[in-house]
Amino acid sequence: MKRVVPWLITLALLTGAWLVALFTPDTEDAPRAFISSATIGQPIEGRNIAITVHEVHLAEAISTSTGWSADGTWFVVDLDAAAVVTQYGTLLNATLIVEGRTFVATERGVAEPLENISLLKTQLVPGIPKRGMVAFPIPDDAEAGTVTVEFNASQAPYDSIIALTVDLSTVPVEDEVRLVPVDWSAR
Amino acid sequence: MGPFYAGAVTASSGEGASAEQNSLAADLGIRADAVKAGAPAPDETPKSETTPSGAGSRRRWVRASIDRVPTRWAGTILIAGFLAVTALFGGLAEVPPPAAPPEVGLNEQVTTATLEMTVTRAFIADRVEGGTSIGPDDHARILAVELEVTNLFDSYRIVRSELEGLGTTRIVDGPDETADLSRPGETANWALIMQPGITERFILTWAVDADRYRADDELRISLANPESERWQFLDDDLHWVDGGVSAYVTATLEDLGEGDPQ
Repeated sequence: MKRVVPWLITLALLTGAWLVALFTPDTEDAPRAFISSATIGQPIEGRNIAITVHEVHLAEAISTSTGWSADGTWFVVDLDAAAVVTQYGTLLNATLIVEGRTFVATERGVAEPLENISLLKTQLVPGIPKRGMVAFPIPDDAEAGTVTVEFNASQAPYDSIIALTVDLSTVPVEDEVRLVPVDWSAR
Repeated sequence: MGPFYAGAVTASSGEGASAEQNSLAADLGIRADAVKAGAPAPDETPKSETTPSGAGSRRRWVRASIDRVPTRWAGTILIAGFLAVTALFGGLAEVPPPAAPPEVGLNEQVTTATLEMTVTRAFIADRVEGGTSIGPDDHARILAVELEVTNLFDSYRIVRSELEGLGTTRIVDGPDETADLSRPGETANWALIMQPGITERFILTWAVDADRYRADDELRISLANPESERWQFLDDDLHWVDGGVSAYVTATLEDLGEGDPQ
């Protein structure tokens, strides 16, 4: 008996450790535990991020009020974004997942602070939404598939992510989308 | 087992082995004596009563053969075997010298592990929008290399001013410093982003002495070879490291005068 007990304990500990390792999410998935699904037109709130997606566009070019434009295939999201708890360190981040590839909202533009053309990296304020757009360049052949836009209010892991899944075949393709400068939301 | 190892010892050590074997035999002799002497020991006696005497002598034989195993040679034999097998699979072959980076011209694509790069033109100009800035009294001009870049990675890549992984792109015999990276006709905001699978145009710019380069000069550009690394512990972000020169691009310089091309 005295000989068997240590072996049993060893076996129990090893099995326990194996189970813990088995049920621990992969490092890539662990920080993405808090995902809320958004729908177009419906406000949705996470821990420190509140989003209302107004419209999505597909376009063959984007342009700004200053006359700059860029060709390509663009997926553009028009949205309201606010913080919920704190303004400190709360910059909007927007990524797009297309067929396993991850894009980030474009930083392209001319002679303006990024804040004037894109909500990317805009400081969010609790309770007072800002309205603006984020534009993603996507591969030309992606127009038929399903894409997921993800918004978060910081790059920190384990924080809220708001995700919007869009079937691109249901979005009409426009010639050009004019990027509207970021402003306080009128609604 | 015993005979095999004994044979191996004679075969591998030749002349010197006889002394070795003698001492081994002496060892064995002493041990055999010890076994014999041990036979009538109190704890052995009851066993010899219950087991037939044939089994006892067999056990003695097994023990003697185990003692014959030349354990002090086991390591040497294993290592020699390992080296022989390694040599058999080419372990002793000379390492081929790393291939010299390819020499390419304008509009020829260079594919690295993480990027596709095609230099489309090289020019000098008085100014390049979003590129290196120079003062009017610097007696300097801008040397620029325009290239198309496709990010082959499955995720976007943020390029900041240090141009991680890309920063070692140089003009051979030119300014030995990291270039400024910009998009033609655009102003960089907080960083430049290379989106996955999207081909985009960028310009590398250096400030050079106004008299150093002329139109139609041959320019030799050593393109960087960015490689990606992901660490495992604490920091599992993607890092970009310099992997040497991916290609030498030869280009003929254009002079764009005041500059700022679109």
